[in-house]
This record gives sequence, C-alpha cells and structure tokens, in this order.
Amino acid sequence: MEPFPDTRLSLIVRLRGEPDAAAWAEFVRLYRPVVVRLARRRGLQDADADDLAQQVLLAVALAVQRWDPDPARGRFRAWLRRIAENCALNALTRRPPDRAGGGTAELERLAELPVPDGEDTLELRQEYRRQVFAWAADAVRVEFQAATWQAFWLTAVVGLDAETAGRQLGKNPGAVYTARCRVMKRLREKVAEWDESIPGDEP
Amino acid sequence: MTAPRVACDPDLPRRLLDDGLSADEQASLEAHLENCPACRQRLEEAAAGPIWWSEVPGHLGAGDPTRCEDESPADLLGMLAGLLAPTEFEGSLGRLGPYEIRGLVGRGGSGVVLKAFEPALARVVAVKILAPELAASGTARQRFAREARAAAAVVHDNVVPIHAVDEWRGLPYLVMPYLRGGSLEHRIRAKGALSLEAILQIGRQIAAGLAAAHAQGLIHRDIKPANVLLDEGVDRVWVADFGLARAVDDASTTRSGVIVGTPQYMSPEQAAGEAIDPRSDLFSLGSVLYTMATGRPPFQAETTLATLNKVRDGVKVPLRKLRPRLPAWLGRIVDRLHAKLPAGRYADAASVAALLEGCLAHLRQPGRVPLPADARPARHWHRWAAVLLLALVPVPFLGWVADVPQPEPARSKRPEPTTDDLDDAIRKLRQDVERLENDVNRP
Repeated sequence: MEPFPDTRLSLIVRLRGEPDAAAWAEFVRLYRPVVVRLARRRGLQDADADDLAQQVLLAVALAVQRWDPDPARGRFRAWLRRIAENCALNALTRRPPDRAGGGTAELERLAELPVPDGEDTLELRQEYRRQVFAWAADAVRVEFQAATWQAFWLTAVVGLDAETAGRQLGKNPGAVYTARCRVMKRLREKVAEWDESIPGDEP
Repeated sequence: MTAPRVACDPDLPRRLLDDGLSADEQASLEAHLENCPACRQRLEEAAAGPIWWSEVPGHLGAGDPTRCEDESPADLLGMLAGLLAPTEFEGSLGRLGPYEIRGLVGRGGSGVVLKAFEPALARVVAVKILAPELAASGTARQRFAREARAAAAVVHDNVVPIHAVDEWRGLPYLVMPYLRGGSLEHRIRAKGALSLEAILQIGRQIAAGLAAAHAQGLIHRDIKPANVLLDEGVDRVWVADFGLARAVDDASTTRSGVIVGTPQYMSPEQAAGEAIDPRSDLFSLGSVLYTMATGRPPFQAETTLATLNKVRDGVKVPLRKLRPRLPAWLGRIVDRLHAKLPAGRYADAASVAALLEGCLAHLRQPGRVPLPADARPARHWHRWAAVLLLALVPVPFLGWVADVPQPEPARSKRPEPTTDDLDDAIRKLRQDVERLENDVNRP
C-alpha cells in the first residue's frame, strides 16, 4: 500500500509559505486512518477505502493553499480539521458507487459543498477523537515512568480502584491518585492540540 | 496508627500538575489525599473535567482497532494478581518464574498471553500460560506441555520460536519472542482486505512454515489469522501455536462435549471429527487466503453447528464475487485448497509455498515470468485428452501432457498509484488552482 505522499504535499504547503508543514504531515497521519475506517465501515474494500481517503486528503491539500494565516480566523490546526471534516463527510455520504479517481473540480466540490449533518458528523467526530486519544496516549506515555503510566491505565481505563492498583504497582493509594492525575492532565493537553472541541459540547 | 490530619491546601493539587512539588510536599499531599475525598476531587478536576475522565475508557480501552496491546479486562488482572509472585522490579506487575510480567497481550481459547521481561537475557518476551480453568484437567496440562515441546523442535524462519517450556504454580507455560506487529487477524480487522501482493507474500510464508512443521510430523490443526503473527509491515510472518490451541480445545471438548473456539477455519475432516493429516492445514490455509482477499472468512454462520455444516458442504461465496478485481487464478488456488477430499488439494505445504512464490514472481514481472502451471485453469478438453492419451501414449509422455501451458487470459491488474502518478496529479491540481485564482482575480 502506497503511503500518502505527505512530504510531497507539505512541499506545496511550504512553497506557498504556509505555516507549519509538520502540522500538515501529522494531520495526514492522524486523519487518514479515520477516513479509511469509516469508509470500511460503509462496506468499501481496503483499496477503495484507501482511494477515498487519498481523495479526501487531496481535496484538503488543495484547500490548504487557500489558508490565510489571519489570526482572526483561528489556528491552522483547527481550520484544517474543519476543512477535512467537510471533505470527509461529503466524500463519505455522497460518494456514487464505485467511482474511480475524481478530477480536480470534483475534489474542489468536496470542500465547498455544505456539510450534511446528523449521525455521520457525530460518527466522524467521535472516530477522530478516538484516533487523537490513541495518538496522544502514545505520545504522552513516554513522558512518564512505567509505574506512573500504569497507575493511570489501571484506574482510569481498566477501572480498578486506587487501592487495588496500588497493590499491584507497589504504590500507596495517594501516589496512585497523584500519578493518574498528572498523566490525565498531559493527555488532555495533548488531545487539545488536535481536537479543541469540549467533550460533550459539540461545536 | 492514623496519620495526623493535615489541613487542606487547595493550592497543592494545582501546583502538583503545573510545576511539580518537592519530595516532601508530594509525600504530604499523597498522605492527605488518602483521607480527603474533597481534595481528591479537586485534584481530578484540575487535571481534567469529569467528561474527560468518562471518555477515557471508551477511547483508550479494549476494542480500539489501532492498538492490540493493553486489552486488560479487570477480571484477568485480578486473576493475575493472585498468580504472580511479588517483585521489586520497576514497572513489573509481578513475577512468573524468572519472568517479570509487564502486561496482558490478550487471551485466546487456550490461555492467556502476557508481555514479560526476562532480566537474565534483558529481552522482552511473550509468555503463554494455560488457562487456569483448563489446567484442572491433567490431560490438558500434559498435552499442552507435550505439544509445546514438539513445537519447540521446529526451527524455521516462519515459525514462532519457543524459548522455553515450563510450569508455574501448577500451570504450564511457554515463552516466545514478543512480536510487535500483532496478528493477521488484528490487521484484517483494522485495515480490511489486503492487496494481492500481500496475500501472496503472507500466504507463501505460512505455507513455508507449515512445510517445516509437517516435515517434523507436526500438524498445526488451527491455522487461522489470529495464529499468524506479523512483523511491523508484511515482510515477515510467523505461524504461532502449533498444535497447542487445539490440544486444549480437545481437552475442553472431552470435558464439556462442545467445541470451543471458532470452527471457521477447520477442514471438513476436522469438522466431521475424522482423522486428519497435514493436508487439513492446507484447507485452513485456503480459508486464510480467502479471508485476506475479502476481509471475511469463507465459512461463517450464526451458530457453531451451522458453520460446521457450511465447512462440510463447502458452501461459500466465490472469492471473486466479493472482489472481482482479483485474478481468477487466486480463486482457483483457494478452491483447490478447499477441495473436500484431502486428495483433491495440493500434495503438500511445500508445493503450495513454491506455487505462491511463482505467482508472486509472475505478479511482479508478468511479461517475463509465466504463471505457474498449478495456477492455470484446468480445461475439459485437457481431461478428455488425458483420458484418450492414457490409452494411446506410452507412460513417459504423460508428464508432458500435464504440463501443457495454458495461456493466461490477459488481465489488467488494478493499477496502484505510483509516485509519478501522484506528482502528475498534484501538478495538475496546482495548475487548476492557479487558473481558478486567475479567473477569480480577473476584473
């Protein structure tokens, strides 16, 4: 499977003097699996789901060139995410069966069409948030000692109480409380880098 | 002895999170938190709002297709807590023999797989331990150990090596390398059907691993995607669990009278409870190829019994009905592996490995490498000719007839985008954008 040529696309970004090419590359890595998963869930084969994700990201890349680094319009990442959501929803919900590639005009339309709302939007946002959480957890985990991370994992994810988790880790419950909260705070900050929506309060 | 009750310092939780505390402050906060629910809550809210905390198990817990570790159901952890010996080792949940247990990888029908560190050799390993509920049966214990030793004797690039076989507190276990890529099952579940090249690459390696085991007289008996482990990428795969899962399944079958585990990859002779030989593994390999190609196993039904019936009757949706772009020869290979009678399948795993290797070469250089004869269609005239010739032609010529090459119908492989294509596409996009911008800017 050809990986998405993110370096090539970020080149476009740089050529235009746009901000943060690294942010774009990171975004592609985050968003691509989300679109592929949703497409797969709608019954597309592996290769077709890949095509669709590629199409969405090409459309986003195209839109990136219109990004205007005007502070009034908010941060690049948030903007990027909105555009991608637009493209993904349009591609996923309006995709005629078994269409190949798609020309430029079609790609442009993906970003321009009004976004259909409803369950698809929710599903996409949820799936994206899941992806961001997994990414953030991977990034944050290495910042902590293994036992500190485990204290968070055993209590917040697995659902053990602080005492049981503490026994397994050789920590007192107080240390489990501080450890899990230190991890949680970092996780929240990391997630917010890519997903600024306040949970439970859809923008 | 109760610690002296320290007054709440609302500032400490925030400082813990923002700047960190001195060792003394940290110790006093920890002691205080144990007795003060209000400060615990204050600390939690300073870290993240309650909705965040409630989201965490759903987003990071089991069932995330992007991860395959850390599916740690609480009851299993409880079971482990009773099983492991205490340890001083940093980051270890406990000790099992000479191994420091770091977490759970998963659990299957036969047992629990743990991620562990082996201090003596400073390596990370996977420890597979027989499920405690099955260990009650002496037969299952002996069988697990016997099969594990037999499997340890197979040394091959595509067979998971077994470092050690031992027993801990009455439970037999074996030790394998810890492979990060997860199983083929995880991969298919996360990413769906695979490309033709990956199907052939993985299939060839499974067949090669099987051939090595068969040469030692060992039948796998449970070839399925969950027992095929991947490197990170598809370059290398390992077949795991020779004879093991089924050894345990057999034990639990005799105990409870029902079949446990998934029967979807069984051969018809297995499903019928008959004696099996190495060609049973070839049938299962056919099912694994099918699953890689379509994303779903060929024989599946609501109930175990219905699935077994489908396996026995050989009722499946033809592979190319689900994925028409795949070449017909792949469907033919799978169908031949799925022959109801073992004699109708390929002769042995080694010839399947060679066949898939040949197909891979053909795929990569279609102009230069012809499709292997075993993957070409059998024609009716061919059979009739064979019958006629049988009567007419001296025996040495028969081999020649069987090898008459059949022209493979020209078929365009689905074009994979190349970097050049993408460059072109991007160049075109940029031109279009410029044109559009000019249009817009024109007065």
